[in-house]
Amino acid sequence: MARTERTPARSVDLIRSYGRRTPEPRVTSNDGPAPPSVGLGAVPLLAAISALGLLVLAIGDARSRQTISSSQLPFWVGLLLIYIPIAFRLATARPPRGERLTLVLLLGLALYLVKIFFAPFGFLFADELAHEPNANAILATHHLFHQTSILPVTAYYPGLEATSAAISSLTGLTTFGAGLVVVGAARLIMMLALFLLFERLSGSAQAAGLGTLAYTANSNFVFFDAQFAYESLALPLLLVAFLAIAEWRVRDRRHGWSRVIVLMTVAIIVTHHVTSYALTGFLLLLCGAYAFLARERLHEAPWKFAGLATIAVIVWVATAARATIGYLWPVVRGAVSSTFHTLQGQTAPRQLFAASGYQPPILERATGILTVLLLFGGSILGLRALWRDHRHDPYALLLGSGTIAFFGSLVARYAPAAWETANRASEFLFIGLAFVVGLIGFDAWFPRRSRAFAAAVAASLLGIVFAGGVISGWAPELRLAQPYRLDVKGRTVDAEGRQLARFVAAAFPGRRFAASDADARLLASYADAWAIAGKSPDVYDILRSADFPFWQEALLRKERIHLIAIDRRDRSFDNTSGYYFGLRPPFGVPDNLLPRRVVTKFEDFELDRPYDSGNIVLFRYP
Amino acid sequence: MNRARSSIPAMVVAVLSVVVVLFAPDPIRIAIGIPFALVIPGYLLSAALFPGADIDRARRAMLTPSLSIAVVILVALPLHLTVGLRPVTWAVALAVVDGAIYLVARRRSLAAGAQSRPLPRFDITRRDVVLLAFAVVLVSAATALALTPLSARHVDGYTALWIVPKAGENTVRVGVRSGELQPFRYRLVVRGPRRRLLNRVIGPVEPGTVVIRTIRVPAAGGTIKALLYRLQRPGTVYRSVSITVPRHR
Repeated sequence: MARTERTPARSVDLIRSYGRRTPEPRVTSNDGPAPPSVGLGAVPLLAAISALGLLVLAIGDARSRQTISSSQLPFWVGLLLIYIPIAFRLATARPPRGERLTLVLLLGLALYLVKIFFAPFGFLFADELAHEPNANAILATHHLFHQTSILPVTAYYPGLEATSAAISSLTGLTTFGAGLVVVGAARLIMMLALFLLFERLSGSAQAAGLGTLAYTANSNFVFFDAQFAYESLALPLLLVAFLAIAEWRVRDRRHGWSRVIVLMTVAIIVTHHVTSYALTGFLLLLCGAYAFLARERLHEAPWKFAGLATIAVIVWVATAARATIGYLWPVVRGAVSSTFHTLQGQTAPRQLFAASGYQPPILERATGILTVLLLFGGSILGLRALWRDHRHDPYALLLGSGTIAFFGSLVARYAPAAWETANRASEFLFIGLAFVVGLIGFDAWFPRRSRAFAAAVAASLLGIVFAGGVISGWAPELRLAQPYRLDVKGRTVDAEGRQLARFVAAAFPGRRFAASDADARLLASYADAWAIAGKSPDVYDILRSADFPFWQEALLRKERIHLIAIDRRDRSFDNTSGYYFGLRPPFGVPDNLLPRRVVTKFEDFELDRPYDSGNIVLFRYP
Repeated sequence: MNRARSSIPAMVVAVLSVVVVLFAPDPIRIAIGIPFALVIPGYLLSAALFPGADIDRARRAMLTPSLSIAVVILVALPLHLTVGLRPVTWAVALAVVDGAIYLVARRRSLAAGAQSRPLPRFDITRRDVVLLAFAVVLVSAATALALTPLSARHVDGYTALWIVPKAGENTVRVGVRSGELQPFRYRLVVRGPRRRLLNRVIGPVEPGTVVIRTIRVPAAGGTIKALLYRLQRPGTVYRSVSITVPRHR
């Protein structure tokens, strides 16, 4: 992006006359001149390099599944082979708009495959196994809104599951296959919408490409936002709505875009609670921004869409999804109070880089800290550019203010009960941060050196930020695929929890269970079970305590639980890592097992014990 | 090409898709069913909302899947309230919606005299083709590797023993499924309330296989207990299951 001083008036003109800055192809009839020929630029080369990166990554995953090596080198080499060359190309001024657009799509798709290679045999993320039972229930009952045990609130937001059920019904694909298709389509929508939104606001395809590239560095992009969960679909639809609002403001064709906004609003409300609130909040804030900053252009403010979204959200929560309040309120309240307690010193701050007791290498810590510093520095430069070129555009200013909110949310990561909320907010706030980073204008750096040098520096810095996002967003021990389905002498053997689910599907389908977090998810997904896990109700203590006091019996009766799946592996209570085979030295640390008494306590009561696979024992409570 | 005319193939595909998704074998259903749900409704709707060249190709490419998903979600709600979400209802409902959108798109395109944008001519060199083919080969290899179950040495295997009553008969089924990394031989002992019902060496049980024994139990019912021993450690119970069966009438 050229670094030029612009007057405010020019800035407004820039938004309005966007079509002239990055011209769209001229429309011709059949009788007109032939369309201009378009080269593929660096796309084939970068596609080949990305494919090589994916192969390196798949080899790393394979060596991890084979318990040969847990080295993360192939993971990082593969990931950076995908990211850095595309970043370099996007940072240069040369590629035309079409090539930039193709490259961001290539990047989005390649990073989606990283997640698929991690779990190619079935859904294995905690949220995926909470959504899969919903989709299965729709396919089995042919109706929406079926309560499931793992995350009951998801049943009231069936957008993802309904779409997946449609694909599954029409194609014969399994829920897993259909889910991969839907989330893959959502990923492509997200990349396109981000690019077009940033391009619309900045007036520059280069800034749009860099902004989209920067967005992929948010800590949830590679794994969390690629999972089969409602937010993975709602977030791309939100970006389409953002783009439609931006287009609606400045285009002559307001009619078409207004319908797109309405359709996206309804689809988002039916798909994900927090995203629908984010859309409503954004629309209201945008109206407020116009009222304060651009009164002379109030007709551009999306009043009617803000009103529609507010009413629709209220109607949906009041009529179809009342449970949402009970689900979200404790989380928000806990996050807010935890942040205040931490700030006041009443609670010790959370130790960074200490998830699940893992002490990351110094290089990872340094990258994580450097990422925050780079983002901070980049946001200062970007905010300067935003103020210089776009300060009369309330939309651009509001989106850019997400940068400040993002750094505010980093403080909440120190609060024990708020870090997850802050982490989950990052994919929304990062939209603004990425837009601002895209505005930096790397071209103007190093004026005495070649443009390629500036692009290389920009790609390197973005590469560090991308790596930092992955480091802070996903458990280190789960970056590489884990042994879940093995080949033993030509036959397939699944992990112990999956085998339990297979037995239950045949012997006790649809029954009510108490089970550890990981086993409960497998039972709900593969055995159509109503599987209760965790502390509310407190089956956690039933499964882990050495005695069986009266209150536990009363709880089982109250919850009408007739089957208890005791899993002695401590890991099975972790809903991210409890699905895999246990590891042995020298490759890994053996499973920490709960005392035998957690199993034998039920023998005193002479309960039926229909299944025993060593670590997992099933008891039948009368 | 006239935008109204360019929507005709999409509508024809939508109608044919109904037949395909209901009657064709799975591979063809997959090839047709995915665009039927994720492409055609959105393409037609974008043609209806933006007849002609109102928007560029990138915007139309973004709107096509996103509007399709919105249409599918909106179709799901009335289906839920009426005939249910079945393959046939999905197919018919989407085709009907596609038809309605097509008529609107046609009317608006004709009214606007809209022209669609000509497709760009891609200047593809031999080098481009080689590189893209190379990329396809590498991604295919990576996918094949990811989808292949592999052997692992440093994991804990397991053996599952289970017992379930056979409905309507005074028998139980006892199963031994091996998730071990090598074949093992076992001794399976099944005891009734008063006597031993089975005492047999089974195996070697290969990994990934299951051995099932059906055992007649006393008509008086009672607790049936099955114990599994590994032959290398005959004195230690390896797995243990039990079940109470009712008196058989």
